[in-house]
Amino acid sequence: MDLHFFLILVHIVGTVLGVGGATFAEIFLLKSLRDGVVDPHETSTLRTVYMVLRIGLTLAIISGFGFLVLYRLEGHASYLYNEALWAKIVIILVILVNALVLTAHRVPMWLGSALSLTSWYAALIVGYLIGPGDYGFFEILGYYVVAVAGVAAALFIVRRLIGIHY
Amino acid sequence: MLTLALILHVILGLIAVGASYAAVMLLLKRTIASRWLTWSAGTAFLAYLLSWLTGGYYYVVYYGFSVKPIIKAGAYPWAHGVVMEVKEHIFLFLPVLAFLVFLATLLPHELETDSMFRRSILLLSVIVFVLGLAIALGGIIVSGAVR
Amino acid sequence: MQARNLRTKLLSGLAISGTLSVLFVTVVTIAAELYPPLKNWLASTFTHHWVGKGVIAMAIFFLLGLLLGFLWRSERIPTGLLMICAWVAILGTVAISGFYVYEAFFVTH
Repeated sequence: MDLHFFLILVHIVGTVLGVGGATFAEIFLLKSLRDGVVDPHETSTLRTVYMVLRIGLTLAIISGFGFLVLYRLEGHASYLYNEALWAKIVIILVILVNALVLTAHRVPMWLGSALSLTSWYAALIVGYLIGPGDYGFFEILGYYVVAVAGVAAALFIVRRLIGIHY
Repeated sequence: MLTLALILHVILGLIAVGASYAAVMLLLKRTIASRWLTWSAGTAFLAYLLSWLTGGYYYVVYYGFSVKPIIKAGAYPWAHGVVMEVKEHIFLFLPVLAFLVFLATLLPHELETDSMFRRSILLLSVIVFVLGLAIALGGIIVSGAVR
Repeated sequence: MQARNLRTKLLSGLAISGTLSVLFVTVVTIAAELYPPLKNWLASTFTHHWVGKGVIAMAIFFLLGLLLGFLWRSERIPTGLLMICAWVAILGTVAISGFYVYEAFFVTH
């Protein structure tokens, strides 16, 4: 097993934990808010899911930087200017900042949830586009913004259907 | 040795930025988990210090003679002229600010009860995180110009 | 109580020295680019100009900070001093970034 393969493995595990964590965080949050109260058991479950999400994010970021160092040392420095890579970096930054503003209660839950969920899936998809893809930085971010709006709208409908109002 | 220094510089930098992020997150919570906060802030300070030393070794011994000329002669000379120059000087702020944050975490009662004090440390922590992050991203830009 | 008081005094001293350290880095960075003899002096004294800036900045922060901290009389939390340090860091970042952008794109060498 060479270093590149090891980094791919770690990156995949991190992404799986992150995307899965974000998905289940949203599902459990919706379940918890159905009766309007988040009880201690639900809080404990959410805390566990967020911990898994953080572990996934950490693994993904560390392995991601590992790739960048490897590209630099192996003479593939041009990859570091790949537009899809930088779009993915922006999306990861959104995940990080979103977590902070959610903790500070500076962003409404409907937007914070949509940003978190969309960003994780977007990072997963954009990761596939790095390399042979012909996608520009602004093109990818344009689709991303549309996706955030779409997910926000979908979550709004789901919340209305299950009786959550906020 | 030089490759090891570069790898350690990146890893330690990541640890530092991650620890700074954790410190900001902990300061934003309603109740401060003071032990975790002290550990995060202390880790950030130490990691920035060690990242500075390893990066500094690579920079002084190798970068100036072997990497900088390649960048300056290449398609992206601003990667050194702007990004690297800003990065190497702003980095000097980080151990200073990170140590102030760490020292403040040794006053947990005051952080919990004095909202203005907490706000000032939060601002310093955010600055440390943002600068650390910008410097890390700057490193990607500088590395990408080496061709 | 004594430990708490010592920590607040050290924090006060280091907040002042931190501000001065950040200010020093900002000023010497720009000055050394505009006045080559300064850069040459740093390089010849410390083997590299950047090493010189770092050594002097850390000396200002730790040595001056510890001295001020031990001499400090007030045991109040130095919130104002910490805010000043934070804002000097922000302005220093803007100044250094702006200077190098200006040098790279708006000055003919």
